[in-house]
Amino acid sequence: MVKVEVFKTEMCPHCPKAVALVKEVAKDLKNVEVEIIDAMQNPKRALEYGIMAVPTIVINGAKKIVGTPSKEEFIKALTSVE
Amino acid sequence: MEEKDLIIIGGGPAGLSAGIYAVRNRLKTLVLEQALPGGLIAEASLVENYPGFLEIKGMELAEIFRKHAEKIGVEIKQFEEVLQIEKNEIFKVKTNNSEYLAKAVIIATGERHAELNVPGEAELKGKGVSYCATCDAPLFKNKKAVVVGNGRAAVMSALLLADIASEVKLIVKEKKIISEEVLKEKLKNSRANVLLSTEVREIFGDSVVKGIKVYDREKKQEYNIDADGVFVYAFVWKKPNVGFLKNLNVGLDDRGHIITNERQETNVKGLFAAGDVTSFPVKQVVVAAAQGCIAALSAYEHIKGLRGEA
Ligand SMILES: Cc1cc2nc3c(=O)[nH]c(=O)nc-3n(C[C@H](O)[C@H](O)[C@H](O)COP(=O)(O)OP(=O)(O)OC[C@H]3O[C@@H](n4cnc5c(N)ncnc54)[C@H](O)[C@@H]3O)c2cc1C
Repeated sequence: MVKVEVFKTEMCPHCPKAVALVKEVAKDLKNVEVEIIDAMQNPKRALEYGIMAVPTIVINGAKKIVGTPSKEEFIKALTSVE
Repeated sequence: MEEKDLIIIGGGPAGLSAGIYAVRNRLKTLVLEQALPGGLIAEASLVENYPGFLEIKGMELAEIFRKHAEKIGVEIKQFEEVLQIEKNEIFKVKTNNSEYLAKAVIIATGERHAELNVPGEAELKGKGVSYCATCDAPLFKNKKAVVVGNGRAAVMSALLLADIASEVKLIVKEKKIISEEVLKEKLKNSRANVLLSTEVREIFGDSVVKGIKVYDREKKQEYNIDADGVFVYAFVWKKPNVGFLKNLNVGLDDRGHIITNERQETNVKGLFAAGDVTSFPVKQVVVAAAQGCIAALSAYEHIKGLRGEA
């Protein structure tokens, strides 16, 4: 199982695109668990990962992608941690 | 291959306004948007100059534009990025997902953020270097922030951060701030400090931003400023999104913006442009929406001509 966390903030206009991308890819791959996290409501989690920009996608608590990658880049990043 | 009367590239204020006017003239219209409809205005913390709204968050205004267009029946495909356009008899528009044919095309792709192009910027992106204050400002609560740039967006970002960060400096390369008088007054009364004639030469830090190296152009002195966050608004030098036009010989100005006449026609027949992507110097929602309207009505005339109805 791969865990994907997407950090966002309420006023971030670029975050819905990252969330939609992650959900779309996760739907096709069975072994991906997705969690969407508001960095302001969960400052502890944001601090733990050193989130300084949103959207940030964290894969398995280790690999960080800042911004919204292309679908291909995201799938590549997912498969490289498996 | 799907064929439309009109394809509009970009779903910001210009593109959605064009969509509304096109659909009300019964044109088979499709808006292709690489992200979410609404456009760059979603990044504005507050909009106070668009008639009809005394004050509204940029994201809300973007959402109203989308809802309005959809209610009228404008078909919008989101997350669909246009990669190339060809023209034979009619236009062929290639995206990351599909290909479409259209009798007319309106380019309403706006501009993108420009980088400062100084050492450290690329390495520290997302580690304190940000290009969207509305997105990232809350993450800099009680931290030191600098906003680099000039123009309305830079001033608004400094004002937004003045309410959140412990310290805010607006670093302006020019001798004066370029913005509405109302915003300049708000800036004066805010907690933000303004440094004029000051150029950023480097952003430094290790795993995160620690500060910037600046050059005072009047005193001819270089010095460092501590900062946790660097918000880049090099807006005066924003770049138009026109990369997908390379196969068409579209007339561009020296900064790459599309040249149009007052009917929003480009030099390519059937190809129109509206909003921030054009060389028109005022980059505001009200202008983008107006130009979108004009472009759609011109496209309608063009299509009627092709149908022999003109
Ligand atoms: C922080 C900030 C504050 C602002 N405040 C104000 C304000 O208070 N009042 C005001 O009037 N204006 C303000 N503006 C300016 C305003 O946002 C713009 O003038 C306006 O959004 C321009 O509209 P547009 O439709 O021309 O372009 P945009 O809004 O930039 O829309 C272009 C759209 O095209 C899409 N696109 C780009 N390339 C492609 C492609 N290849 N394929 C598919 N889609 C593509 C983009 O994703 C985008 O959604 C502000 C801007 C910023 C950044």
